[in-house]
Amino acid sequence: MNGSEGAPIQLASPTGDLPFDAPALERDLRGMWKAASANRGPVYRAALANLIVPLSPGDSDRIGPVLVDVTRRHPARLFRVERRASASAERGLRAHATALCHLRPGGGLVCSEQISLSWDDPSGPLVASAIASLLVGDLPAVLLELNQDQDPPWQEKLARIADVRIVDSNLAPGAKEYPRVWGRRPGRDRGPVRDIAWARLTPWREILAEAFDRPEAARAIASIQDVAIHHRGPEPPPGAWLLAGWLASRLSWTPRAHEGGRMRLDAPTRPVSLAFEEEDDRPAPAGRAAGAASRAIIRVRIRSGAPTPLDIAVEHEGQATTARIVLLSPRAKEREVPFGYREFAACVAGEIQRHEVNLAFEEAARAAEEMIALWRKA
Amino acid sequence: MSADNRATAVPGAASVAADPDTVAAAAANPLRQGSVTLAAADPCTVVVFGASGDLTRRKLLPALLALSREKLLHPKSAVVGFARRPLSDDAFREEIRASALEHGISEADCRRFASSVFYRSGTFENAADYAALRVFLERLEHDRDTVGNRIYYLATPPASYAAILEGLGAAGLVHAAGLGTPWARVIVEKPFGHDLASARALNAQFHASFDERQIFRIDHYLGKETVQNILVLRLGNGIFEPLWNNRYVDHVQIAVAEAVGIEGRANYYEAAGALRDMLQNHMLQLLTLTAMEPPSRFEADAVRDEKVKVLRAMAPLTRQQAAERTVRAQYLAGAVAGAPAVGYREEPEVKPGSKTETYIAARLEVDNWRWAGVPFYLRSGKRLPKRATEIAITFRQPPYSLFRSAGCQSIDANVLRLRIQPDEGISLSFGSKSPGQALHIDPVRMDFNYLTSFGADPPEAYERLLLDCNLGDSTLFTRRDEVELAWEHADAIAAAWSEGAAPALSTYPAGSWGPPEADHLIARDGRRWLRL
Repeated sequence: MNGSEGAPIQLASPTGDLPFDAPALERDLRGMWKAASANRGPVYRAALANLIVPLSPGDSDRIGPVLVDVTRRHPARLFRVERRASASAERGLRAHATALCHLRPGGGLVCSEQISLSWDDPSGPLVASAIASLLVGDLPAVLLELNQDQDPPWQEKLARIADVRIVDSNLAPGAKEYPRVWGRRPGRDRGPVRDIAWARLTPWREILAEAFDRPEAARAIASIQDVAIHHRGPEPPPGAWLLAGWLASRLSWTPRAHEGGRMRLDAPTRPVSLAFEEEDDRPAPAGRAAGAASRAIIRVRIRSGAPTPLDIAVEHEGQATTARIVLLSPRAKEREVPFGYREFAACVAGEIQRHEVNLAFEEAARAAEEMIALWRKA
Repeated sequence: MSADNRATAVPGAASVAADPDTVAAAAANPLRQGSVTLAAADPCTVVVFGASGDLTRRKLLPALLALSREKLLHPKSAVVGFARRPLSDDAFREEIRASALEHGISEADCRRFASSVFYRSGTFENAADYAALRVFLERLEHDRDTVGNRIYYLATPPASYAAILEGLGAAGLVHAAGLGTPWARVIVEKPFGHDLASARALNAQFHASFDERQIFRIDHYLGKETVQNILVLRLGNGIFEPLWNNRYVDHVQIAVAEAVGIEGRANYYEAAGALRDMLQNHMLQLLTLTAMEPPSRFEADAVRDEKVKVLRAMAPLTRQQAAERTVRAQYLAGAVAGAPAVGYREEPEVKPGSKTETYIAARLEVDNWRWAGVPFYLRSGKRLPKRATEIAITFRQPPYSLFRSAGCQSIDANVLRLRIQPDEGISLSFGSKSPGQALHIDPVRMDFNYLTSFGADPPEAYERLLLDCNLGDSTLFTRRDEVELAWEHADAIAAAWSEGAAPALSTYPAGSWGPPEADHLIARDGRRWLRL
């Protein structure tokens, strides 16, 4: 979805922050729309989802702009859930209504409603019931969990009222946490999970799949014997595990052991060796994408043995819109192909728009979890 | 849509798709399983003939620029404008920039796009200019590594088509149709001919240089989001298709209303009229999409086969039928949207005694199992009160009037309106009890609007169509047999009119909804035109 890329405009309700009262908030919203229409010309209230976003203290600066961009791409009734500073004199659950708007190229404003809820310790467990009373009934409810370091115990209640959770396993502190983030910890009553780290893999998966479309390359799939996933950062990032899990699940490889820094997997006809290679010799891009780039995959090399030898690598850097496919064997050849790099907000919007169960992700996460278990054991 | 990603790119998929061995290998590729992908565009050079014209400036270049901005064009792709007017690359780029800024495209996006835009001056009849174009394209393709893929866009008056086709062919600028790359495709604007004979002749000219798979006949209505949504609405939802037949549908109205006049295009419009300008193409396309059977697959030829079957199920009108079932009229002076408007015959370059119709209404029938007995009422005109295009499906009344005993004598029929432009969307009207103690039933409507649902206006039709051509997907383009069958229907009406058969040319004041004869046409069947 495309929209105007101008600066966002925020509309505020007339009453401001008040103790939570659902009917009063709905009235506030209606009042805000009326006033906005009178003052600013056409105002279009748009919504395709309920988007629930718990924020940790200090998250606003980091995540606020992302939410503006997400709602521009995929309009939603947005619930921002924030813990109030402990020094605040206010008590209980409080809320206020605003709207995030952008200018429509044809004139007027297109707006997403935003309901900001602030809570303190006693009122935290009431947040889910407050949101449930304000969900737009016939739209999906999506929980965007980008605050995994501050997961309050009652956040599970938010997961229960949501139809789907979107997480970013890149925020998890280490590999042992990835299965929890993917919702693969037993006993957790949570709906389907979508991971932004998986969404970021999409162009990698497409290019790798395309590399094996040609008949001669397709024949080499059965004789793959060596895979290397080169990444930035000291440990394999979740994307690298998911990419390895995706290859394993698609190609029926079973993880067997982690020996000598390499993963050993059993393919139907031969063993496969898979390695994660740390690469820090190239400068990481600066700026907004630096965080993601510091843990990004930068190269994937796949080698097949006889009878159909093939040695192929895909390389991509930063936010480049193209990647290089380097064929090393049976003949040397290079070509540049489009790489569908997407901004973080575009990845989030893409995952909100997904209406199907993501079997490919589920299977990749399962295989990745098995590999992480072997890796940790070693 | 299956398990995985909805909108991702397959590099080079368009070229892959043309090679049967690769298609088979790709289908068996285990890395493809669980993924649904949108193909990415091959790198190509888009050569626009008529680059200095209005269509190029208003539609094509903004559409190409938008595709480039959305990264839907391959980054190596280039655009080459070709026209008579001498112009430097930089001057052409500056024109693009001015047009793009008018369309709200940022300066930065313009700059990025400009580096891939070039201009060649030449005349369509001069063989040497095509030879020079070939040299230029080959050097550009080498420099940009576009492997020789080309789209030729004929944004010129139809009179120039023959010269351009001949020039392209003689200069060896058309790659033979085959598998994989390099490929060459040609996009041609409507009108495709002015009658069946000329359309056949034109098809023959195109086929002298291009295979049918390489020819993309544009009807830009098919690129509109709501038009594409007709099939999604019908066939992607469980509740509509069961009602989409003569058991439940009373009649269908297709309206294409324009507030504008002929906008200085008297030369074209005098020869075309509403019949050739609207009914033969846009309106029949909307009709076929509304009436077609579900295709076996969502693929170009499967979809177009079904559309062709609809055209075949409509017998061309006999003279008698044309007299009874069509209305033609011309606008007189009046006022549109608060501004005075001159009559058609007072428009610049229109003959004072012109008989060209600016309004047409017709009652057509699709003689098949699904639609027998359901009339399709079509109307289109210039200088009507406002611009509006819609398809309205009016459903039958319930079999028994339960509420008559409570004083509700008549309840409006349910109407499903597919709004093509403006305010693209879909609405369904139904009767609802008005609040209060008495039983009153009032029509209310459920409304879907692209803007308030998706928060953005749908993309321009030309963006979609240019991208589809780049991808080699001709679903939204008209095929040779479709065009020729549509001309058979238009020709039957034109023949009846030209031979003095009724109806006589009527008139209507600019700013009205058409002549009274059009109201009579539908009123004879006990129906009325819906308000637009």
